[in-house]
Amino acid sequence: MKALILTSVIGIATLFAGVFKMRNNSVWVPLLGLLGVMLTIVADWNTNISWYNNMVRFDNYALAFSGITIAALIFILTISIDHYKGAGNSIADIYGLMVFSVVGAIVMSSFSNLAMLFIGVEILSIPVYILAGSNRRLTSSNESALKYFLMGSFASGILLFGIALVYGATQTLDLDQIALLGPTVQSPMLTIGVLMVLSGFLFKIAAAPFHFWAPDVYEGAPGLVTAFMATIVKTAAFAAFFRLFSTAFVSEESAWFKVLWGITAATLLAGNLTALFQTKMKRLLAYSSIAHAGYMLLAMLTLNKQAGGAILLYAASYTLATIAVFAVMLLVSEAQGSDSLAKFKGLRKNNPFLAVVLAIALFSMAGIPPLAGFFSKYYLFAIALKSNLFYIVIVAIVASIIGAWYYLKSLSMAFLDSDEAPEKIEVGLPTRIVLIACVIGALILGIRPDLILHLI
Amino acid sequence: MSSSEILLLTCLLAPLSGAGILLIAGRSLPKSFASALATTSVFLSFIAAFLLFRQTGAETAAFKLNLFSWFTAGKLSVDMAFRYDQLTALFLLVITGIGSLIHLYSAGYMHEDEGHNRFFGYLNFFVFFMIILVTGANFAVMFAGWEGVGLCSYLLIGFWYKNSDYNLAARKAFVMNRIGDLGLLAGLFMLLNRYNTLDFEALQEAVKAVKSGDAYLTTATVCLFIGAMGKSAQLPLFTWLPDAMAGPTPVSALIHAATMVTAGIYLVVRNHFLFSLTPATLDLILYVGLATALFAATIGLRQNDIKKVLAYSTVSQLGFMFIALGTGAFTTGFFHVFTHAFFKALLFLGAGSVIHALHHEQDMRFMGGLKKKLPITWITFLIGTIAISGIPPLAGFFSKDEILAFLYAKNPILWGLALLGSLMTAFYMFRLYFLVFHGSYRGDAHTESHIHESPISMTLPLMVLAACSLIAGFIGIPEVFAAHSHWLNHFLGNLIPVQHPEGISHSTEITLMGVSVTAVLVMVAIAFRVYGQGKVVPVAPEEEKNPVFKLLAQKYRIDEFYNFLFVAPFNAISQFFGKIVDNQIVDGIVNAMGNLAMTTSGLLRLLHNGRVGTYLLAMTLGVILVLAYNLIF
Amino acid sequence: MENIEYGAIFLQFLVALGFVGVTMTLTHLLGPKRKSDKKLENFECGIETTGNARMPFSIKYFLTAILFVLFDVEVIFMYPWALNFKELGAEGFVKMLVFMGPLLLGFLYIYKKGALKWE
Repeated sequence: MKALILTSVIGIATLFAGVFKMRNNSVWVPLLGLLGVMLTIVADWNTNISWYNNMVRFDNYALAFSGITIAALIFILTISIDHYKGAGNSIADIYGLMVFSVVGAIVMSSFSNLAMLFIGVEILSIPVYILAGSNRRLTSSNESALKYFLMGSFASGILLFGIALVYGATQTLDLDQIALLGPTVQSPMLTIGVLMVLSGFLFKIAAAPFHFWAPDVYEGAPGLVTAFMATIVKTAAFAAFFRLFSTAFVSEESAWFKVLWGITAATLLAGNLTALFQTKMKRLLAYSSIAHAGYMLLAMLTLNKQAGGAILLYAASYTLATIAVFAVMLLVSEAQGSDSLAKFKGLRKNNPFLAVVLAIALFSMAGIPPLAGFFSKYYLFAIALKSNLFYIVIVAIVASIIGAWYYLKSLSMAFLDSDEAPEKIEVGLPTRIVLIACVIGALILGIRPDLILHLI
Repeated sequence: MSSSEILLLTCLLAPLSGAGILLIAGRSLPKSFASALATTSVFLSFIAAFLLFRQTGAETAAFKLNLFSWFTAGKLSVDMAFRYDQLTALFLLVITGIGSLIHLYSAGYMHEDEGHNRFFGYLNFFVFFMIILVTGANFAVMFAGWEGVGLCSYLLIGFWYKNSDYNLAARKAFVMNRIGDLGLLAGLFMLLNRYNTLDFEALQEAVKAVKSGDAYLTTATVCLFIGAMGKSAQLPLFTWLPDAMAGPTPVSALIHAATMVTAGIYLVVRNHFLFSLTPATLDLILYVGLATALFAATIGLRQNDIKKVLAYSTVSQLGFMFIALGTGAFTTGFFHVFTHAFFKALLFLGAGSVIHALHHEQDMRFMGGLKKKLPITWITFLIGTIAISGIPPLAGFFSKDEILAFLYAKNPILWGLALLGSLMTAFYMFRLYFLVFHGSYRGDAHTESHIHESPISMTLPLMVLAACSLIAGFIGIPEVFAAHSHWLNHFLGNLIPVQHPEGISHSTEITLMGVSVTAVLVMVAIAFRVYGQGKVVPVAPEEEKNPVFKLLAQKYRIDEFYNFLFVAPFNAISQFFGKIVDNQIVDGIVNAMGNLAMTTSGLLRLLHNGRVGTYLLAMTLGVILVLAYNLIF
Repeated sequence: MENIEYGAIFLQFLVALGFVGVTMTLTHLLGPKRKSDKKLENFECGIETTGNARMPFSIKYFLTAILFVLFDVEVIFMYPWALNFKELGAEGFVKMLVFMGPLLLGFLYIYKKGALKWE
């Protein structure tokens, strides 16, 4: 709870830092504040307290997922010190929106009432709609914002409709109560409600066939915002998704299990297959993030409490790798004027550091040992196999083979010899720190995955 | 953390940090700094090992340093744990002591080399893994060290990577070792399967109830021995060791004579509680050891390359160590490891000093008469030669004699064969010595004018090692001379049960010693007669008239035999699989799959047309599908 | 049982659709058709239209209106509080202050940001 309140206060403080002309130093307000929030999360560990008539419950699950989103935001803010250098005062508003969005993420990982879930989803989404359009002069940014807003509000509507139907069937919004009453309710209203909530979530995590918005929005939005969407928004959506479906809606499993099975398979294949043909890094990462959502959906299918740890590990390793790739991509596309894959050709020549970071991050995404990406996939598959989900694991493995192809293809670009190799790109100290932290994180989680796996 | 644990950690981490610095930042460091750093780090390790040894008596209990839980899988849980006991103590002294001397020596020997800093990085890395190997408290940690030293050996054999022959030698060493490792792994898994643990102490507890001669355990120990065969170059996996002489000479001294190749003996001694339960395996070890000792010794008789002679001598001496283990005298096996480490390192370094002086000439046909020009090398080399030949009171005599005594107790015929082997050793070593140091110089005049004694950094290790070769034998004075004089038996007594050659009276034992020493002296005399005057010079293998000598000079053509038996058929099979199965069938299937994926990808891409309307339609259809699926089914 | 209820809904759905369809078809068929300029023009409270309806207007109207709605809606929360002021007592008062605090901060923010400046 301290984390939630403190983050909200930091959001307001960040806005005012911009108003009172702190100019380029405004980033330190959220950065230091969020480090403080991390401390409160550590302090609250193992307390498991529910607040306000069980509206939210800060158990270890909530704290762990909040921690990951906050850590990701810290990384993104650190990169932004270099990236937004020289931007005007309105930069503080962007930071403020990011912090507010993370408030939503915290609510989404700690809710124990459907009303809080919806509020969390909205707090998370609305700032991101604005962030997507934060590059006001760029048509593509505006297009991205509008598309995201239209599609997002559509999905919110479906989600809310679902919540209303669930309330209608059970007369309660409390997760524990729903879990208790669920099996006794005969009305099809509950089933339909659960399925509509499911659809709403599938939109938020961009699972097929609800994923069409993601590539367009990711491509149009400013790079850092895309990184924000790919990591924080996705992690929060999964935190909420798993929290809801592994507790309150377990009794309705027969209704959603097979549907989700099919959607998982479709997402894995659609994400990885469509990525094959992409020529732009950002769009490629969009499809790859769809694919990664597919892997995490595998854990949802197991209905296994342990799966929470596996999702957490996956989210952590995916976040680390994604932020590293985005940071490298931002630097390269700024220097080269485009994020087309061809512009990465010969990166190794003058920028060996960036090339190596890119390599490690992409290797981790492709799931190559001993990096974090490998073990997080391994644990997901292992848990799925334990739950006898044999066929879907085969689909996932085939998908990850396809995935490895395009990751390695984009990587081989960086290591090819080319006459048009990018010149030496200046990497600022903050970005350098983040890149090194991501690489070290990917290695540590690869060697000791149990550090995170058994947290919750 | 107690002081002992800190010392053990220092021992481990000092070479690791040296290696880390040199391998990461080596290119930008000056040579003098690199060699000083590497030598200091190993010397630091030696000091730590020595201080630890000072605290250790025969009665001191072993202690365990458990760093962290390495991995857990099912019922198996393996700790990153290290164990320090009397056996480890002595091994550590040898590794770090000889290690620091050889580092010091290399500072002079490798001074001109362009890969100087890389060399020291690898060498430090090797010492680190070797320490891991002998301190590991379970098979897994030991195996990590085992593979690590193998890797370093590979890197150092192929150190001069621009020569493709050297690369082939490195590859051969690696492959031969892999065959052995497979055996070791199989043995390890068999133990794991039955006892659910890899910890040495726990295993010792677990096998207490096992009857002697248990078939399962016998198979497991044979597998472990196959691992030892690979690493310690025993028949039939020995051919890599002579080829490994491609590496720089200090490497040959440290890795391929004093330390790494004795890892196989360490493996058996460490697990003596397993092997003593399986007499059949012990017999196998005995015969393999004996065969190797004889086989390698005969080859050594007719080699012309100074390092090759020493290499075959090493193989042969390793055979002697296994003979000791085969008779169940584990302490004696270790005793020979201990003494051999000193005089063989000395001999290799001496040979290195000669090679250094002659500008990398290794063929003895072009040496001779060097005793005046290289006085220190000459004296120390002579001490080494006497020590290895088993002439009292130098180190080799005590350990070799103990082996022979155990063998006599087992079977006098075997004793006779082993004695033959040790006589051949004396012969070819003195042949080497006379060819190099006596007679007159046979190389070209230009080289002769440049012959000079090596710098102090190289001669100092020679002198220290010579001193050790003189006295190392006294840690195991036979009990026939004085009661309780065998310090080594006493020191290791709590760890390894002390064995005595059974059924041999003191008088027999003294007679045996007399016989062997007399015979050795006779061999030396013969060698002196043949080669001492510098009149007889060996010829190249191709010009050899005597068919037996020719076969020996060509090393029994064993490499060609292996090529014919394994390599050629294997190549044929891989040709078939590579050209036909892989290129045609497998690639065909894979490409078809790839094309399928690409086609699908192209179709899916068309769905993303950028229109919000289309996307909303897709979503709505999605919701309808989700709902309809449940209403229909 | 349930199927029958759904059947009724389905029937009503059909009737509703059918009514619209039938009515539109009928008027289309029965009604006389006359086309003239006046008839096709936009109807704007009877007065002749001037200029383009899609004329851009100042974003400031929009901004002010949105801000008004925002703060106006928050006032709604004060009605139930005011009605139960006595029952809620000091605690209620503090809670209202906590609510009003951020609201005031928000106002300060838009003021400093210059959102209320007309020029």
